Amino acid sequence: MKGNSIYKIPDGKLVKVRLDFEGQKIISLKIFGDFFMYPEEGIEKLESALAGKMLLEKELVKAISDARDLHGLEFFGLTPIGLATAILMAKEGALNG
Amino acid sequence: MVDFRFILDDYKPAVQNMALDEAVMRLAREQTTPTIRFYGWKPSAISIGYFQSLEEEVDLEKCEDLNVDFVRRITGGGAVFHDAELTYSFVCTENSGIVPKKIIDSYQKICGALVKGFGEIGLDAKFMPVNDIIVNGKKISGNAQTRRDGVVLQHGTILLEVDVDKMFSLLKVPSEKLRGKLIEDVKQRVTSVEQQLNRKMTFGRLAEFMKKGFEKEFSARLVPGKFSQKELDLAKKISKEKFANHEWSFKR
Repeated sequence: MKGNSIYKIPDGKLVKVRLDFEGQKIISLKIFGDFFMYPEEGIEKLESALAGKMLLEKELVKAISDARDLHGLEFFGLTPIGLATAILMAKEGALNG
Repeated sequence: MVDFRFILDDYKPAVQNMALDEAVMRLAREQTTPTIRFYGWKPSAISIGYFQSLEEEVDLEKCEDLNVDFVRRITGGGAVFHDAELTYSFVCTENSGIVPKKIIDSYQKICGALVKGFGEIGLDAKFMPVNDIIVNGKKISGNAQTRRDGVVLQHGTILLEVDVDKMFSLLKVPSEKLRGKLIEDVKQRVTSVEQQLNRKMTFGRLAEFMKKGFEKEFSARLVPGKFSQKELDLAKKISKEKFANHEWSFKR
């Protein structure tokens, strides 16, 4: 299934997610928004790291933090919890039509 | 007292502007001093942040109708309508010690130059982390930084005038139902030099004030300079291969 979301992270920036998933599992996703990430190319690494992950808040937050640390990324206006929320909202959006 | 190369540039198309900023950044190691460039946009243009979707943010047909350029930046942040404004770019190497190593602190330092520049005009400006400068509670300047291979590039915009209605006619909104409310919100949150001063201000005058701001903040002498031939050649190449290329524009 496919779902989209737009989420303003409290005290952060706007993040938009396009999610492709099956059941509880992410097939792939794209992350957009007006946040900052260094280095910028890290966004693709983060997106790939989330493919195959379960759509559960704890697991997503961990996967995002792990990918951030593994690739030495720095976020501004974007947080693991904020991004996980946006991803889950994209799933809810798809399920609730 | 340190010397900075100061390039008082003119109005250029979006792809050239972004290519020149990147060329100066890529060749920064060949310069002995940091570079500050002031410039404008002709035609007017929308720039979007590195992580934004061009199609989702910008009404491309409307841009064509109104002769407004569009370009994807190499820096993060949001969509900006570059119309009546002064844009600056600042480039230095990380190990020059000119700006703090920590990204958030370096935003504050470089924005500090603008805050002092606003002070020169009599406006009480404040840095608002991560990347804004506000006057009387409203945003008057947006800034974006990137770092590559040990080089810092920060560019940003200082609004001379602001036309929120025109800006929104070029941007897409998540929901047409909310368009009116969004426009009202932005009108409440954004201001310009002319609005705050309640008088006219030119690009040239604002450039003088901002130049002073940089000189004060960095205890630097801004020495008038030009692009090197190598920078111009590289900018031409980057402009063609990257910023004017659909693959880059529609990258996300």
